[in-house]
Amino acid sequence: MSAANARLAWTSVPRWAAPALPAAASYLACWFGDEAGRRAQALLAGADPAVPIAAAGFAARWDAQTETELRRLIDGCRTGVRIILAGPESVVLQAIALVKALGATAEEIVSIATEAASDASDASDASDVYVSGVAARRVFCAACRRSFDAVAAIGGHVACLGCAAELIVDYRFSGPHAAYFGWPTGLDLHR
Amino acid sequence: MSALRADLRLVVAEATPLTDEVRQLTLVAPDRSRLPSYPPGSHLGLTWRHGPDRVNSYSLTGDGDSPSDYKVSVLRVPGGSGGSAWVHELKSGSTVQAVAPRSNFAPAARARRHLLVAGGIGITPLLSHARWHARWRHEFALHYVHRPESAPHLDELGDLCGDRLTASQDRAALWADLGPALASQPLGTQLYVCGPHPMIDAVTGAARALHWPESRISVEPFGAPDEGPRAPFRVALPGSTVNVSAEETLLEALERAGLDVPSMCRQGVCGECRTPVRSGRVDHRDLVLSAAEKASGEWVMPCVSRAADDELELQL
Repeated sequence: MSAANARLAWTSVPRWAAPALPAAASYLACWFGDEAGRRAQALLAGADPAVPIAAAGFAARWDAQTETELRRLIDGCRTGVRIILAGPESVVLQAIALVKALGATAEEIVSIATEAASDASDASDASDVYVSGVAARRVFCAACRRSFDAVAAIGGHVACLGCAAELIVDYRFSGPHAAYFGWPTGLDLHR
Repeated sequence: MSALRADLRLVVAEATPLTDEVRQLTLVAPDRSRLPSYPPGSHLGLTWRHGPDRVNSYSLTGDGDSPSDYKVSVLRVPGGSGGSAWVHELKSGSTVQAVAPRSNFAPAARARRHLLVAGGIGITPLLSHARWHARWRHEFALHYVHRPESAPHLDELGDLCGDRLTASQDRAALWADLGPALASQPLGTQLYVCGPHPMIDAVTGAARALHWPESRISVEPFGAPDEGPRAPFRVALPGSTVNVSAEETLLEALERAGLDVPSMCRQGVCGECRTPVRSGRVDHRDLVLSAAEKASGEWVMPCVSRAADDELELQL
C-alpha cells in the first residue's frame, strides 16, 4: 500500500476494492453511464444463469428522476437480493445512501466506482483504491449546512454554492449524506 | 460466591399457571414503584439459590417501557438443575433477588420490517418484541409453532397481532407458511428466531440458503447444543493447578477450587463467565464468542467449553 493510501485507510474516505459477485437469490444491477454499464455487465457475466437479474441503466448523474426510479426498483426487491451499483463515485455514493436508507445492509451491496476501477487497472495495490485526486464530489458545507456538487481533490478548496464560503474538502466522509465535510477556511487550524 | 450483582429486590405479585408446565410470574418493586425500562427481548436474572449463588435468566414478556411490573413465563424443566422447579414453587408475596434486565436480542433499529419466528417457550422474548412493534405500529409478522397441548400466550398473541400471527402445531404446518414467507420478505427485513436448537438451525439454515445476509438474522438460543464427549484435563492458574473431571464443567471445577468466576446462564449463552486464556487450545462449545474470537484462542467460556488438549492455562 502506498504511503498516501496508508494515511487514507485511517479515514472515512470511501475505499474501492475490486468487485466480486456474491451468490444471491436475485440481482438488481443499476449503472450510471456507459462505462459503468460495461463494468456491471462484465461482473454479472459470472452469475448463475438460474438467478434472475433485473437491470437498469441511467445517465451518469444523480437527479430527482433517477432517485424516484431507483426507489421504485428497490421497493420491488426481496431479501436475498444483491444490488450492484456502478458509476462515477459521487453518483454511486448517493445511490448507496438511498439504498441503505431503504433497508439494505453493506452485505447486500456491490459497488463499482468507474474512476477507481480505471485507476485500479494500473495500481499495484488494486485491492485498496481511493478517489483522492480531482473528481466530482458532493461536499457538505459546515457554514450553511447544505450539500452541493463540486469538482475538487480531497484537501482542495471549493466555494460553497449556497453561502459562497471558501471551504476545504476534508477527508471526513459521511455515508448517509454521501458527502465530504467542507470546512470553512480559517477554521482549519486542526490540520 | 458470584461477582454478579443480583441487587434488585422484587416481590411476586402473582404466580399464574399458563399451561400445565408453564408458569407466569408477575414481579413488582416492594414499594410498587416503576421498574427500570428495558429493550424488548431482554432477560431478567433470578437468583434461585444462594451460597454459591445460582442465577437463571428468563425473557421478559412486556414491551419494556417504564414497566410497573416484570413478567416472565417459565417452563418447568424436569431433570434441570433446579431453577425452573424453584420458580414453580414461588408463592404470591415471596421476595426474590434479581439481576436487572439485560439486552441481548433487541429489535434491529434500522429494519423496515420484522419477521419473528418462535418455537414453544421461545415465544417469550418475541412476545415482548410483538408488543413493541404493535405499540409503535411497525411492520411485523409472527410465526409461532407450539405443541397442541401447550401454547403459552397464544390467546393474547391473537389479540395483539391479529392476522399478523400464524400459529401452527407441527413442523410441516410451520414450514408450509414460513417457507414461502422467508422467500418473499421485502428488502430490509430482520429475522428473529427463538426456540429449540433444531428449529433455530432449520430456520436460519433456510434463510441462509435464500441468501439472507448474516446481519439480518438474529437468534436467541436457550442454551448451547449438546456438548459432545467430555474428557478430563488440567487447568493451570497462577500458583495452582485444578483437575477437571469428565463429569464436571470447567466452571464447576474452578468454583470447587474456591475461585470467584462470574457466571449466570451456565449454558454458553449469556457471556458472563468469559475468561482470558494464557495458553493452550480451547474446545469452544459456546454460542457467545464470534468465529474470529474463537480462532484467536484468547477467551474461553468455562461454563460449557473445555480444553482441546490435556491442559489449559487461564489468566484469572
